[in-house]
Amino acid sequence: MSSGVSASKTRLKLVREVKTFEAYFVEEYPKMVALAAAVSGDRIHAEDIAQEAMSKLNYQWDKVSEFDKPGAWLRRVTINLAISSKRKFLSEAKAFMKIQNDQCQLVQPSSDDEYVWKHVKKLSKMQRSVVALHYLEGLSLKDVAEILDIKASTARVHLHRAKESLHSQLINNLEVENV
Amino acid sequence: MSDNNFDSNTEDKISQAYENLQRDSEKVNTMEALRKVTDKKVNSKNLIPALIFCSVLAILALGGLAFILNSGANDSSESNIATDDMDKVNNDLLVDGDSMDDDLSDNGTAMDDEKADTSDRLDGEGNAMDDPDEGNSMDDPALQELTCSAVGMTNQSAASGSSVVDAKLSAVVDAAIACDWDGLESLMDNDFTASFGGDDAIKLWKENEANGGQILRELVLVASIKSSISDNYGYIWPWFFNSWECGDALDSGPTSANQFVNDMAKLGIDPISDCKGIDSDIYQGYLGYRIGITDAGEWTFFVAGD
Repeated sequence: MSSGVSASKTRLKLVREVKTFEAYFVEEYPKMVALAAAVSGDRIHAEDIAQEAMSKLNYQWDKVSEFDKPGAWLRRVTINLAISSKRKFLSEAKAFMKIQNDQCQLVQPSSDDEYVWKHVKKLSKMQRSVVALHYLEGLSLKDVAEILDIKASTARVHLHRAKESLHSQLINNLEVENV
Repeated sequence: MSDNNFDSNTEDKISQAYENLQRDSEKVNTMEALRKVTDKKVNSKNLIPALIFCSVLAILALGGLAFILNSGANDSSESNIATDDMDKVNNDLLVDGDSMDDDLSDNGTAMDDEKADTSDRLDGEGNAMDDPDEGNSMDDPALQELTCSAVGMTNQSAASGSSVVDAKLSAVVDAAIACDWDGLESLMDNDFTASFGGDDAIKLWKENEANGGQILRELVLVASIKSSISDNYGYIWPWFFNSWECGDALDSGPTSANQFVNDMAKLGIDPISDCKGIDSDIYQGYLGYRIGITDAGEWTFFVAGD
């Protein structure tokens, strides 16, 4: 695991614990907002995406709460929504933008971070998903692979390529800045 | 493949950006969001009795309207043209090539018009309620059971190489082509997933078909494309669901480039223009329906990417 991932982050509790939906929501919702923002690259709609994912969970709570890893299910739903939401939101974006700007609670990134997000948006959807699960939640490649239904070796390749791409872009930016 | 190759400054920047995002996300109003999500479920639950109530009211109102119209028609039937004569009139009008509406408006009363408008659909007894189009409407639940978008298709399910799996896929496709909803249901695994949010696959699919969707046709088409093997889910059709992204060579999968393009075209996708499209970041791979059957031959899902 990369040294860049905060050591304080504990491994995500994907495994089921007996909880009410409300308690589970409070614990997981902010994480889903972050995941949706990281994968979709869209902070304005991240909360909508997270709420949609949590709604789906609510409808299926009886079933999903019995899964061994409800957290994996929730993350997959959120990622799928975040990826597909790009199509959905594009068509309505103009009309929606003003209202959502008023409602959006997730603050926009600082100028330092904006650099990073600009390049994250250029990654493929699978790379964005792997990187988000890795950096946001410190998940093992095995857990990442399980959520995304890919082999752990494939997840490793996606992560490496994503990091390679991000590093080269950021280094280029730094060089340009220094010049 | 060591992470040590990466510059520690940039690694810190990336890591910091994600940490900041996580920190920012903790500031969102979770309780407000929880209220919205739980309200949404409560509202949808409340909607069901309301819909039933409205449906009953609508049926009563339509029944009343039909009764009134029927009474009116009976009252005026003696003074209007008999049905057989009406058919003759209409035939004459059609032979003349004139507009039926024009001629009838010239001919007489509003009731005449109304009767003439429907006369080509009347049976021998002039009973509008026996209209054959109405009888065949997809609104009729009995007929929904008998027909679906896969009617007339042929079973061309793509073999996976596992006889147990192939037998299940073929049975699924046969049931879809026969619009055999009970058959489809009997082939599903206990934990079958139709799509995110759908517990009752058959109900969802019937609704889809009744609303003009072609989900069973899609099922048959998807089954006709080669499968791939997933570590976690067994066999999945089509193979390109997670093995191909925009930018990959068209012949990078198990089929030739032509075959790949044809297979995607079956599902309404053009891997060349869709990738070049508005923004290649939007479409990067196949997000459509896929069928999953485990190694043991359990049909576990038919889901789309969103």
